[in-house]
Amino acid sequence: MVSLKGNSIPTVFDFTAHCEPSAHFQFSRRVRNDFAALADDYAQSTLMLGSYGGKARLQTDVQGIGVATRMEVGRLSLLRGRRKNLLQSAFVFFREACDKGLGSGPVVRLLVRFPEASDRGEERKLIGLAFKEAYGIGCSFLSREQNLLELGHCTTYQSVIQYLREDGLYHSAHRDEIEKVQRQLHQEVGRYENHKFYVRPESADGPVPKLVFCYTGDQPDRGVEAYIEGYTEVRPEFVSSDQFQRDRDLYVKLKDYERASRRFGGIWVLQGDLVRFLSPPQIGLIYLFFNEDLQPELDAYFSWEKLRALQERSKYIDPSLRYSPTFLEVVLEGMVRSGFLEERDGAYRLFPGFADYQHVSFYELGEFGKVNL
Amino acid sequence: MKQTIWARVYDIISPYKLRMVFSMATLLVLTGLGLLSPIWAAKLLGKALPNGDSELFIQCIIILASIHVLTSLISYVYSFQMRILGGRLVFDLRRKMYDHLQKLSLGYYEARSSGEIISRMMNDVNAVTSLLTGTVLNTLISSVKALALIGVLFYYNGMVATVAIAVLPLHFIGYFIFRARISHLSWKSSEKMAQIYGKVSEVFGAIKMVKSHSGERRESRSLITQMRESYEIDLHSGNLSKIWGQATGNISYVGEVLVMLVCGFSVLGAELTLEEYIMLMSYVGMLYAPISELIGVVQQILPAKVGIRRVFEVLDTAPEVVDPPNGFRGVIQGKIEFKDVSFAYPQGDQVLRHISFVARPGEVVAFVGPSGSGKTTIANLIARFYDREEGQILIDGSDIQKYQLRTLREQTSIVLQETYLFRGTILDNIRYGKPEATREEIEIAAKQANAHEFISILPNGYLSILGANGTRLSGGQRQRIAIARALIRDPKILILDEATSALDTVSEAKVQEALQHLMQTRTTFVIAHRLSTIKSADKIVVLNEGRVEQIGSHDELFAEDGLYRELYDPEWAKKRSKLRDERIRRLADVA
Repeated sequence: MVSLKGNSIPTVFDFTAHCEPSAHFQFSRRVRNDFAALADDYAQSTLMLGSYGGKARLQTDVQGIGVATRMEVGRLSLLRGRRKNLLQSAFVFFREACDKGLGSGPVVRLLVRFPEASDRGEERKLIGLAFKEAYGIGCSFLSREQNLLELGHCTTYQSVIQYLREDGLYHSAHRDEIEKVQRQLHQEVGRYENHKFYVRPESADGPVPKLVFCYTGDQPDRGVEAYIEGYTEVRPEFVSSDQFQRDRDLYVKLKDYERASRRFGGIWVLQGDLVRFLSPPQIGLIYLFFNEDLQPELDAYFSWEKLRALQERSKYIDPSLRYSPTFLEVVLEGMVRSGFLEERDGAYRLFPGFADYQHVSFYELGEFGKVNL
Repeated sequence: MKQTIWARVYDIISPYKLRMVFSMATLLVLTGLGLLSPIWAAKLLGKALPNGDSELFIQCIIILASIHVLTSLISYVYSFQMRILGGRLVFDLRRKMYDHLQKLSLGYYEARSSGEIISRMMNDVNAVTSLLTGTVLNTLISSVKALALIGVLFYYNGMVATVAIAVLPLHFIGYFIFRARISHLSWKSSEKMAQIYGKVSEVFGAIKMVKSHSGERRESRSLITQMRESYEIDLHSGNLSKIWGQATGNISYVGEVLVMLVCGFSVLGAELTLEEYIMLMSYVGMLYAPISELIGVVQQILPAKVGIRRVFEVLDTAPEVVDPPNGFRGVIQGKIEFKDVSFAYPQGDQVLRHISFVARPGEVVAFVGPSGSGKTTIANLIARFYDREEGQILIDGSDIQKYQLRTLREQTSIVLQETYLFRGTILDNIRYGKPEATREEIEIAAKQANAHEFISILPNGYLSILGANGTRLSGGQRQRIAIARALIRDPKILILDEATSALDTVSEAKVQEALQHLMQTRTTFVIAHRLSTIKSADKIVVLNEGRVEQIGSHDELFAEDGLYRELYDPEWAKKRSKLRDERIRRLADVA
């Protein structure tokens, strides 16, 4: 593969679309023939430079009793000007193949591989545009490896700094209520099927935001309100569909609030259009760059020795890792590589754009409302 | 500092450095011998025969024969060294992988099929070894040979050498064109083989279920599809390799023709002798051979590199549960405390929420609750198959993560609903819990587990061989062997995860009796649905959706208006739910 970094250099973009597995899908002769015919229509030469070649191929994976199909196609771009249309043709091909029933189901995961993909914002922008034009929706990129990106959707919650300080609109103090309501909704699906439930977080005096439970529908349903209150001690407020549409940004799905208010596990972080995962040990390490009032020291460089000393005292780092210099070294190295920290002469500071990083949830294409591509 | 793939490969072969150097030296000698042949062949054809010099003729024949004999002998020594080296590398790598795989957490195995793991351990290791023992040395030797031949050609005739190497850039173009495709196809081929292994092992493992659902044809069809794809991938890859090989051959042929033209005109113009013509043509022929070999080597390297990556991928996987280097090793008393413990899979649903309870040494603590309430997850956390996300798990007052894993697991026994018995004797299966146990200890354990009686009736008693899953024994008998295996370790912590739920009442009574022995002197955690199994527990923890709903004894909980009574008194639960619904409906109507 041509692996030169410059934007004007020929680049091969290798796309893979994974379809939802199905126990009933049969990789029959008809599917093979139809796929081959369609692939011929969309073939573009890659001069054999790509992993998959310019003509699409259909593979299958056995996943338990289900069969999942995988479509693979490469696009060679010699000139920058042609890139968007070339990339778009791959997306259109995937859509058409699924429409014709040549995959085991809708596309649930879409991957693109090209050299230094995580560092090449220009190319990502083009892919994003091509994706939007092909499917009518935008996308974000999850960095899986340096050369491999996954296309998906993000729901933005708050800034990473707000998450770390827990002073945004998502607070773990509300988790009990959220879970109680969720449980009731799951237990009695039929009772609440005509309504959709949301929460409206609002800033309050004090550290914990106010949370208003809401439901939408054609008209208020006092029965629903009574049932929810009877079982969960939370009284939901009715919001008309018009008002809901008007103020859509104010309302959050229960599932999203539950995810965003977690104080355990790692988090997804959006850096521009690129999503990276911050694991619990990495989150613990970021707190070393915050002062005692949990204010980030954005411009200060921290020496290795200082970080070691802070590590030993930090309540955010797992006790079993507080005294490990190897842990510090490995995590620092990884975070510099992934754009969370910056290193200069052996000292570290938060990456200059850190304040703009967002705490998000990354959804694979298939997970995001089962989008049928 | 991150090591490159080749630096890591060097680490693997470094214990055999001397052997490698020796092998390389033999290969260099072989190369040198190869360079001598054209000189004497040219003398023979260009000088001895045309001039009728019989003495030179005989001399040439003897030297050429000697070169051939010497080459054969050194070749044998070389291939012998390679066999030893290959065998040892396979051995080392498989041992390393096997040791590492056993250290990996349960989550790793739950995310992969056993066939995939086996494929990595067997097929990919072979690929790595063939790369190291054959390909790497050949690459070095071919490179040395090619450089030596270019040097020799320049020494004899600069013009011919320039023409000969003029076609070399074409080889590099071929490399760029084919490399990525072949590499990717190799990856897919390995992946497909792993899937086939996985499918086969899954189907054979569940053969009873497959047969009972008449799934044989469906499974065959599914496997045939995969095999066909594997065949197509290999065919495609083979075709590309062949095309690449042919292209390489043709490029070399073009080079030879060009040299033939240049040399031929030189001979016709009396600028070169016939002897020189023969010698130069032989060297040019020899020059393209190592170049073709190098291209061939690249073709071998690509799949082998994929194999190396797959092997390193396993070796690089860090266990999620980390064993502390200086962890506690002492005897555990058995006090277990959960303090506000939460657990969730990354971006998945939360399985446990703020779980707190204490189990004192010798106590029996039962976990009850609907399916998916987190009972087994708690058991997994106690055995440290996973690590908690939040809160603390204390054993005798110290964090569970401070204990050495071996210490913890040696003093913990788990009896599961599905019993796994290894292929082997009953004796060995019970002894698995404590390898140094004597026959007497084994029999005592079997008696306490109510297993001695039925084992004694078997024709070979304790030496009876069991099938892969102990298929010759009933479910209850298998379970009692599993209990004997747990009992022989004399664990301080005992976890019974639905240990009797699959048994009939007679078998369960026997197993229960055995368990009473087992629970006397240790902290026992019981996960069960049957009331009879948990009624006598000192403490019952009622779980619902990962949360502790109630804690208390059976009598206390039964007297309360809660989930426990709901679970074990369905009539009462129905009545209660009806009353509550009516109350809320009335409220709704009023509203």
